[in-house]
Amino acid sequence: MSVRGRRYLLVAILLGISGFALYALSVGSAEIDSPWKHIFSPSLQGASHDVIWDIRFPRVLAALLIGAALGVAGAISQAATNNPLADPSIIGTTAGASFGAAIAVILSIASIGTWPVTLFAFLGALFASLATFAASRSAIQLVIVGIATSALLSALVGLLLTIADRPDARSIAFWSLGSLALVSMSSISLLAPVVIVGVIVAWYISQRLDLLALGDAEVRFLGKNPQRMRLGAFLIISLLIATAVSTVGSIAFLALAAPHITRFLIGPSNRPLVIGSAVIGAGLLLIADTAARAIVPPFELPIGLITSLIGAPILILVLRRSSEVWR
Amino acid sequence: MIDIKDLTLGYSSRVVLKNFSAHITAASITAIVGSNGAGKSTLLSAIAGAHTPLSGSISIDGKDTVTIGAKEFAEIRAVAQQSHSYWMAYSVAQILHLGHESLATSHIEEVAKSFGILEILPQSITALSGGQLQRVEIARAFMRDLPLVLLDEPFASQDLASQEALIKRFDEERRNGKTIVLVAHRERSSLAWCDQIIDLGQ
Repeated sequence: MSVRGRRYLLVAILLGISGFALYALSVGSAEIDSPWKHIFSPSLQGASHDVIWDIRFPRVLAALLIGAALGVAGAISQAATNNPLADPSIIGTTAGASFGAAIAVILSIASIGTWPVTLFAFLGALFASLATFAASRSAIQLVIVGIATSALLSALVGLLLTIADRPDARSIAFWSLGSLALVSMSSISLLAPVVIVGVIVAWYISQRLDLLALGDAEVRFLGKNPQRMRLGAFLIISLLIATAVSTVGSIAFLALAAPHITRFLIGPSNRPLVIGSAVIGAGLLLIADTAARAIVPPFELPIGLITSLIGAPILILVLRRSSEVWR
Repeated sequence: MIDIKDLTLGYSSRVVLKNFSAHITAASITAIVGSNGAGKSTLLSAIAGAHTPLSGSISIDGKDTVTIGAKEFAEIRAVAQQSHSYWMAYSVAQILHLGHESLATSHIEEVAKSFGILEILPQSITALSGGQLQRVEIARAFMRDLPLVLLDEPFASQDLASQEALIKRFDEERRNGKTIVLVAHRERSSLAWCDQIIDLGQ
């Protein structure tokens, strides 16, 4: 697709997402009279105002930010490992973040939604992805070792939750399945700067990752060190995933699907791919979260189910139609 | 150009080449031949610096392939591997540009034309035939105009006409002063255009 075509497509998708964001503000378990009046006049006070602007608005923002973070983390994972199967939950990052966050909460170092938890999640994510990285010598080993690391750390989180005799253990379990229900405006003040900086740095380093498509051997023949190129990528993936996991838990599938859908729309070059994956990831998570809370109010469906329900058919459709990419 | 001394190559479980010595002069074409498993590709990969010898040494213009810096080595040799599998649909033009950011597009197109791949530049790298993909890799190896070019089985998927065209191109490059070392899966008699044949035998 031409650069101009890509821009039009991106603008059209952004407009669609903005429209959907407004719709997302208007739906939810609480019955509200004339929600649109409060959406377009945020200065009107009252219970409806509070529901829309104090509960739903941060949630919509969080869905957009976390969706963008997951999309970008997925795009960078696939580029850095030169592997279409790679996503942060396969290379160990997500399980590492969950492990770090669970340690912080269970040892009463911090409570969910505060920055020390994010820090622990980041350290866990970084440790897990670097361990995966150090134990593997090729892109395919990275995936296999990553799956093993993830299994190990997930088992440890499970053990911690079973042993911990604490009232909030249940909420940790809920959050390890992924939910945006606990998001507040104070989560946004941590989430927004980290995700924005993370996406910008990802965009900046992503162009160099194009080279990895040539394979590690050719990169070395060009005088560059492919493992060193991956290191920066793993730092960014850990940062984005730690922020996402420590705020809303682990959300299935999105980080794998968003970059593939984006690649189908605008091609494989990593710089446009990072921006596109942020937009597609944001849109998908917003739709998924809105569906999760609007389908059977006042109950909430687990968000991971919805991301899979929406993402999987789109991913299969995209891969079937892009026979040139997958032979 | 290249001095190979008492070289022993192998993997942890087996030795594929033992106490091998050879000399390759500059501005020449050398073919490495031998039966399957004789160590042709391992030898090429050792000359490229991607495989560390168990003992012995390879030096290129006096520089040891094990101790030379990666940056310096990158300015001496280019390598076309047998074939690398791509999964992302970069265009052929994008693949030729990768790692060659300092080169002008006109130069890249000129090299592409000389290897008969000009018309496939806009196509996706994932949609090429084996022969086309191989010519893209070979074109990449000649892109930066380096003194030493190493080619692993450049004729493997080429039809006769393409093989002839490639031989003509290699000859031109030799006359321009390039040293070419290639692994060939051919009869010795069909390699008369090479300056030297290294036969690794069984």
